[in-house]
Amino acid sequence: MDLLDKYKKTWGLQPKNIDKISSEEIYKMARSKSISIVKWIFILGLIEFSIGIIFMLLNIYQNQTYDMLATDLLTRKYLLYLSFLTVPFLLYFLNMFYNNYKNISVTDNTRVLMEMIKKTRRSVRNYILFNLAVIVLGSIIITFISLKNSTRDIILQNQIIDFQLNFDDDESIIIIMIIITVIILTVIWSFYQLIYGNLLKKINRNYKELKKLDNDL
Amino acid sequence: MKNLETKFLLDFENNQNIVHKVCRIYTTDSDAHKDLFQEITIQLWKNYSKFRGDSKFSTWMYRVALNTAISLYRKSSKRIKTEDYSDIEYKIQSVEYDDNQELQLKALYAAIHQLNDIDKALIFLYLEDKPFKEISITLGISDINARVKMNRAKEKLRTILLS
Repeated sequence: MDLLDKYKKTWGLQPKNIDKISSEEIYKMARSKSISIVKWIFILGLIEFSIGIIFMLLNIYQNQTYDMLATDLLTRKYLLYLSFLTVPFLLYFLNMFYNNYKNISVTDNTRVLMEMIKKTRRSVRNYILFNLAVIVLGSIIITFISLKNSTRDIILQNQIIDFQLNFDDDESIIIIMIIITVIILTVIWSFYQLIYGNLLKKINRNYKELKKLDNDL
Repeated sequence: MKNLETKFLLDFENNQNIVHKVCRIYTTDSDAHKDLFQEITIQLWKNYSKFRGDSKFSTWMYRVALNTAISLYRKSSKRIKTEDYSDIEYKIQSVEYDDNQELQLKALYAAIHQLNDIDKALIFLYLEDKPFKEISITLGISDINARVKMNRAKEKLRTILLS
């Protein structure tokens, strides 16, 4: 008899009633709150969508309240258009995210389940990438308008008011805008990777393990 | 609704040792065991109305329990390890094969703890005497893949048990 067969036999002899939990206890447990990864992905996704909406609303609100220089107004106008343009995309991502979430079923097979979880996360990641692209586009607009109008007030007043920098030429504006944009993008992206990297570490590892043979054979 | 609950509790009652075994394989302390048991129970109940009865309840239970352990369950990071019941198991892990059933079981669990999550599932289904067809359907891999993976997992387990 093979070693494992012997162990298998022992396994089969395990007492069935050990740690038995009563029906009342099971009843209570079945109704308690889930702490699953899927639930966290859903909550985080909703938070991310809310943040996107809040930023857009703030942008609109600011547009209505502040007295601004002519060039500043122009910038804000373009940024506002940009905000409105993002609305259909936001709805599209929100819909995709929700549908993917709904399709996650623990009764699917293990591979499909993990794929659906990864897909749901990807839909939120794409939404974030889209938002980052909008940030880049926004800063390009600001840079472009300020260069066109040769007015550096915008940057001085809004972005880096404490820096008494002397803008000698257009290149400084571009460089500063690039630096600011890169810093913002890096901070957001690292934060984002940290949250999801941590949350999905187990799934990524298990998925790779399950798929490993597909590549071997 | 009441009927469904009663039926669920009855089905669960008869098969809850499956869930316990999954918890014991995937966790190493009793708090985590309890957490995972609760999460599996939640998932089973949440999806019970979708259980059509075209497969055996126990087959369905294996799938939900393993899926929860492999993909959904996330160990609470805040938890301080208490009542670690694996301590003893780790110590006796090198005990040679003997007839003492309890020691054997402990050695087996300790060895399984050293496998990765997928191998744990494979070995568990092997120990539960599940046919390859069911194993490949549960995990969503081809029959051939299941066989190759199973052989490798068994080999790993054998090495750990003998070391």
